[in-house]
Amino acid sequence: MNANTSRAPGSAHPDAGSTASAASPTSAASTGSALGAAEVSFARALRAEWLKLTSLRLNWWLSLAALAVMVLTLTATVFSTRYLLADTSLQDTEAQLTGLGLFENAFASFTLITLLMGALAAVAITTEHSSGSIRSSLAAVPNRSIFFAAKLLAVCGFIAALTAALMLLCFLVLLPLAGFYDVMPPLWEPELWWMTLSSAAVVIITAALGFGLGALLRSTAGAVVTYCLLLFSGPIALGLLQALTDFAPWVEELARFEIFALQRQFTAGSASLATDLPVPLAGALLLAWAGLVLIPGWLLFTRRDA
Amino acid sequence: MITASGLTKSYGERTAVDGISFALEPGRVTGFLGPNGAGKSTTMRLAMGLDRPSAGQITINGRPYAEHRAPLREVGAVLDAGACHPGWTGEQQLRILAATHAIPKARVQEVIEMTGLSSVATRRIKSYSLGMTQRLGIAAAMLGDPGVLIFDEPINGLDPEGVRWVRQLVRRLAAQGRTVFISSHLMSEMAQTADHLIVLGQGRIIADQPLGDFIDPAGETRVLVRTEDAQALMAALAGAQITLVCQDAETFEARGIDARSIGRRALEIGAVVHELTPLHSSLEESYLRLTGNYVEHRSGGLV
Repeated sequence: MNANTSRAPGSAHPDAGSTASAASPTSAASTGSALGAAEVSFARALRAEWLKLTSLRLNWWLSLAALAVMVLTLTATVFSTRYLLADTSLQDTEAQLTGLGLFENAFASFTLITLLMGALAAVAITTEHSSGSIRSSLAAVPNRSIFFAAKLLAVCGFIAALTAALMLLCFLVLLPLAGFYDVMPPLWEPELWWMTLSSAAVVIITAALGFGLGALLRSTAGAVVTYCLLLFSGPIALGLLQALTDFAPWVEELARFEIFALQRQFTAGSASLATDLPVPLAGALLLAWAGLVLIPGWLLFTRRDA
Repeated sequence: MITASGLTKSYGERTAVDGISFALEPGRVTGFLGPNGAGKSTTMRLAMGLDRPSAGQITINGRPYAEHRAPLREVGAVLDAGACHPGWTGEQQLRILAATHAIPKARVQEVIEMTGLSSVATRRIKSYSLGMTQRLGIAAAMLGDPGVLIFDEPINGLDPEGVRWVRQLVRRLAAQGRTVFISSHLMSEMAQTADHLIVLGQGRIIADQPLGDFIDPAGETRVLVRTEDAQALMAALAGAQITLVCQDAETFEARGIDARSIGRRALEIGAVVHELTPLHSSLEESYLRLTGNYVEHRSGGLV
């Protein structure tokens, strides 16, 4: 459809052929450009969602905050290592475990980063509703399932890229540090790599939960507060229950299914405790937590008025 | 072409759109009028697939909006001037929309220039005036060079130059054979822009006819009379079917009698007449007369 071509006999209205004003409507409708527009596809919707994420300052502020958390953690790790290991000589296995411990400590900061990324994921969808941009977004991509999936994937991709960058920073700081103090972890064995990959997966899966809450609640404040409550109210409530029931076995059992507990059990890998759930099951249950919020969020998103 | 058939939208107990049917033809501007809360914006949102009908359907070029594979190439809409993230720049907003249809950057620049936004395209939308945001909405609507355009109150916040620009744009789009569906509360603008009118009242269609037919049948004969002998002529014209409204010492308006009859009567009594002007009903008068019973939110009297 080229605008230069008349579609039907024109109207006889007096303004129909009038001269263009300053912002010329003459060129408005008759562009003369080879528009070359194509159909909406998942890949194109994904690209648009990626552009949205990278165009928002808030996302970069949250990413900077995550970087600051990691930098602080690494700084603390470097200084504490200097005091703890300066005059210590460790045997092979001990040295390797100490080296792994350095990474474990640094990766512990991902708990806080998960909060930031959950907020980022929630805001990615709630801001569409609060700003009204959902209307132009759905005008461009009216298939809501495609829109939802593209946005979720873009958010997860953004968070994955950021997490990867933070992991890389950890390795760039901690590997030379471990080498300097002769506590190099075994790079040829899976422990370190599992810890790295599973920690990244935990950040992404937990942030997806924030996205689901955003889709469900459509309110930034509501989604972020609920996200924090979901993450933190579990351990607090279970702690109270343990105190009230004198550590009843059913409370102990319940505690294994709480989000933070699942994160720990999933990232433990071969270092799992005997009481832990199997690692694949812990991962599957983490995914189930995300699905528990994402699926109703998706269903509501596809059915509600925009 | 936009076609609605038995279109209904209810919010709980309240029915915003009540079983309306219409067909909007290409090549003409269809004005969409109605009091606040009549269901105009809801109808437009239903057309764009943003809201789901409770019953009936509305299609664009034969399909519901969501079923179009390249919707921006089919329909361009300005439903809400604020439908964009305030943190993006105008250019970013357009490039994001363009990315969904692989519309080239050149076209983005083209619509930016066309809407007169070149100087502010790289500024954040939150710094835009209402008029600039309206222009951005129009730029977004034109991005895919669509055959159907839906404009909900597109001239809100525009300066006189902008209003004129939109009027000319809308006329030109229709002249090119596109279907243009536009709502506005500015009757003078609608009178200059629309070829055809659909008027809603409390969710139902109360008029669906060409602009000319809408205005003329509803109007009654009125004549403005200016004479040195106003009192005498008014007394001579007084009759059961005639209403006379005095405006000042020399001027009155006569309803229910034509200018020729007034001139003849003035001659009979020797009144000196300076002006006899037949007055035509305006769109606003016809509209107010038609929708008087459908107004939900009525203003109080002036203090």
